[in-house]
This record gives sequence, C-alpha cells and structure tokens, in this order.
Amino acid sequence: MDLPREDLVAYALGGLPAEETPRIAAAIASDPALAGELKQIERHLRLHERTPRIAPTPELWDGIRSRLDETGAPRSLLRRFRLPLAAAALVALAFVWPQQGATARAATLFGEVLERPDGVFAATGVARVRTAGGVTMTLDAGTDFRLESETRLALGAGRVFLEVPPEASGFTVVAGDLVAVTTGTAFLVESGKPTFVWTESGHVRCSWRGRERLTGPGEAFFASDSPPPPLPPSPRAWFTRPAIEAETPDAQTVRVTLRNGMPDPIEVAPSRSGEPVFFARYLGHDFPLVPDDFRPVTLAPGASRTFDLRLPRPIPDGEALVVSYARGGVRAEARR
Amino acid sequence: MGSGTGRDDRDDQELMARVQAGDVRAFELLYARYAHPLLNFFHQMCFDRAASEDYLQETFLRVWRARASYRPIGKVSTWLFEIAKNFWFNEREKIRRRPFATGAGGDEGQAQLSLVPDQGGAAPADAARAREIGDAVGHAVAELSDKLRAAFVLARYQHLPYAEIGQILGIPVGTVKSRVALAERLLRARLGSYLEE
Repeated sequence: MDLPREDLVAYALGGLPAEETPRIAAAIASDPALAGELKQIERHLRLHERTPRIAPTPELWDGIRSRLDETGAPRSLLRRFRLPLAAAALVALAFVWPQQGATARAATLFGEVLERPDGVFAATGVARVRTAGGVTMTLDAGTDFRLESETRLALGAGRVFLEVPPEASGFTVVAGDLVAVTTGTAFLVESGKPTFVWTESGHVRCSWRGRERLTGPGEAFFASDSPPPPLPPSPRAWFTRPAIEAETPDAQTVRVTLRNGMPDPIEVAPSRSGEPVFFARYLGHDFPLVPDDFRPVTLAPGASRTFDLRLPRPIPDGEALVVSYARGGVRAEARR
Repeated sequence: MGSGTGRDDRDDQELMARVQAGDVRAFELLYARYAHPLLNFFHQMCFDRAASEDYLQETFLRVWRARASYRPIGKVSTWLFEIAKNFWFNEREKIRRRPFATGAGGDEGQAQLSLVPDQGGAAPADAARAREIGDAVGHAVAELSDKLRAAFVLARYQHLPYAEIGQILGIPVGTVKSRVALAERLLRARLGSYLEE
C-alpha cells in the first residue's frame, strides 16, 4: 500500500476536500488490499451510529436567556423587519398575496429581510417584499441588496424575482456592471458568474459594458462574453418551496405535512451542521423539533409526508404555534 | 449560486451580524441551530448529560459576551466549536468521568441514553443488543485520550471536514489525519468482537 492509512480513514469519513478524493478513490480501485481495508474501516465507523444522541431541553435556553439579561442586551434595530406571526400564516397560502397597502419603504410580506449595520438588506430565507411603489420582490435565501430609491435596487449577491406593475415606470436593477430597466414586467436578476437577467413577461432593457438589448418573454441577457449556460424552465419556479400544513391533534403533538410541489425530488433531512428539520415557535420561543426515530426521506414531485412531532411543552388552549421547515424557509400556523 | 453548505454559512453570517448588533432573537436562532450539535459534542467528550448541559449554557454565554470579537473570516460553526473546545479543555480537569450509560449518580439523561438510532421497530431483544453495542462504543470512545477523542468526535460524530477540525483544535490537517486514524485503529481493536457479527 502506498496510500497512507490515515488518508484511507479520512476518505471513509468524508473529511477531505473534494479535490483530494479522486486520487484516493483511484488508489483504492486499483488495489484490492486497500479496498478490503476500507471496508473494515467503514464497518467499524458504522458501529458508531449506535451511540445515542441527546437533545437540548427547552429549559436550557431559558437559563441562557435569563443570564443574558444580566448583561443588558441592547434593543435590536432590526425589530421592524421581523416576521410577524400573522405574516407566517400567509406563507401557508403559498404565493397568494394579501392586498394590504405597503406604507413603509418596503413591507415584508413573508420571509425575513434584515437590515445590516451597513444599510444592506439581506434575506435569510425566501422572502417577499413590496416597495411603496408597488414593486414586488421575491428574494432567495442569502440574497443581499440595497434599495437606493423607490425605483432603484442594487443587487449585491443572490437572486431576486421582480414583478413591476405598469405604474412603477422605469424601475431599475443594478447588479455589478449590469443595469436592467423595466416597466410592466416580471423578470429575474441573478448576481453571480455570470450575472444575468431573465424576463418572464413584458420587456426589460438590459445594458452591460456598452452592450444593450431589449429582452422579451423567455429571453435572457447574460453579463458575459462566454456562451450562456442553460436556464431552468421558469424563473418563478426557482422560488417555489414545499407546501407545509400543521395541526395540533393534542396539546403535546404537532402534525406537520410537507408536500413537494416542485419538479425535482427534495430530501427532508437535518443539515450537515445538525440543524433540525423543523422548528416550532410558541410561548415566545423557537424550539427545535427532533423526532427520536427520524430518518431522512426523499419526497418525489407531488408526494407528501406527514410527521407527528412531540412538542417539548404543552400548547395552551388558544395559543398560536408556527412550525417552520428549516431547510425550505416555509412555515405554517396551527392553533389550539 | 452557492452550495447548500455555503448557503448555511451565509445564513449563519447573517445571524451573527444581528447577534453582534445585540439582537437576542438572532442569538436564540443561532442557539436553536447549534445547541444540538454542541450539546452532543460535549456529551461525546464527557458522557455526562448534566455536565454537557452546563457546558452548553456556559459556551453560549461566552459566545454572547465575545460576540464583538467575532470576525466573519471563517465559518460561524468553526468559531462556535472552537469556543466549545476551549471551554471543554479548560474544564476537563474538573470532570469526573462516569461510565457510559450506567445511570450512576442519577444522571437525568438516562432516558435519552436509551435512545438508539436506526433500530426502527426492532424487537426488544434486538433493541437491548443495539443498546449494548451503543454502550460499548461509548465506553471505547471514553477510553481515548482527550486529544484523540476530540479529533475523532469532530470527524465521526460531527461530520466536520478535516480542515475545519484543524482550525477548531489549532493543529495542522496532517495532525488531524494522524489523530483520527490512530483513534480509529484503537477503537476498532477494542470493538473487534462487535465487528464479527
């Protein structure tokens, strides 16, 4: 064996960077002794799946929270951008928007949009925002932007789907060197490599480094000199998330149903960092919900799955409970 | 478009920015995200649920106090595990190790210790056997030295990349590799009888 055994263990644990694994995989494929040793290592490592995991009790956070007060936590400047519980219920309606007026500079319809100290706004999940000018922006998780005026948005990272009514004339999006000016249209802008504009309906005037083009429905404009990469079927579909419903059959249980309305299968599983699949918000706290016997499941397109999750504390009668699916940025409300 | 992991970290960075601004709600979300892995990290290091809960609380209080010193140059999870590891190594002299899952001393975590993943609807005899194996694995891990155990726990139980483990433990990746490989060899030798099943 010319491959160090420690590389073999690292390979079995998936701890190496992606660029190193082909070399090790090739060595294993060409050496039956290495392949046999790898099997032994993997067999041993599987034994460790038998060790128990423990879950934090709700009292732990209470203890931390009470001691934070000793240090006098400053009041958050971001409070006005928090997701109100009432808005969470809107998410369950999946893209059915309320006709409420947006009197602020931008109103969060659902999701969470935060303002950082440097004035940049950032979406921590899929979020929908409407400006006072009536432009609706659907922001993917991780998108950040600056609303420079009622009619101008500077996109720093991520992607935004914009729906601009005819009366919002001349709405402009700037993403790096790319400028998109539009009216009466729906289009997507993604800041990336390359940055591009993708028009769903209406027309968008795009310019980049002296190149200018008016794009129509289904047309894209790439801020790149290279051939454009393929686009998925619909920009709007990129923001679709599984639908979620919740009910409380008893005070200690919440029944959550996830339905995959997307064209591709989705995996319902904790994140690599161990983030639970679901959270429940009630009694003023977010509680991670970790089913003891939970196993990752794959939901085919159109399939649904119901999970009965035990709550750490009973829900008082009349209390609203909001369940969120952590990986999809969707929430549903149930009430006792 | 970032990978899922990249997006997780971007979300973490957003949360940390809010935490730095003193947003308790963001801190609660950060806690909700990392309480589970960090609690289990401590539990895998000391096998004492009550102590693990204390360490978790103390770690998050340190995080809160140290929030101004956080710089978004690395992953938030690495920073959290680094604080947890430092706390653990500072406290380890005070730890009285308990045998795994014996229930001695009225460990309140006993109920949780009986939860064995992946046994599904196993028959009672199978469940007892699974628990026995889980206990044996826990004993074997407990017998590793602190340094080997920390590296192995982060790699096997927390599924962290070696580069990140190196940052957390303050050692080169090559040292991570050798520690994890040595731990694996020692554990495999101790658990040999269960591997023959």
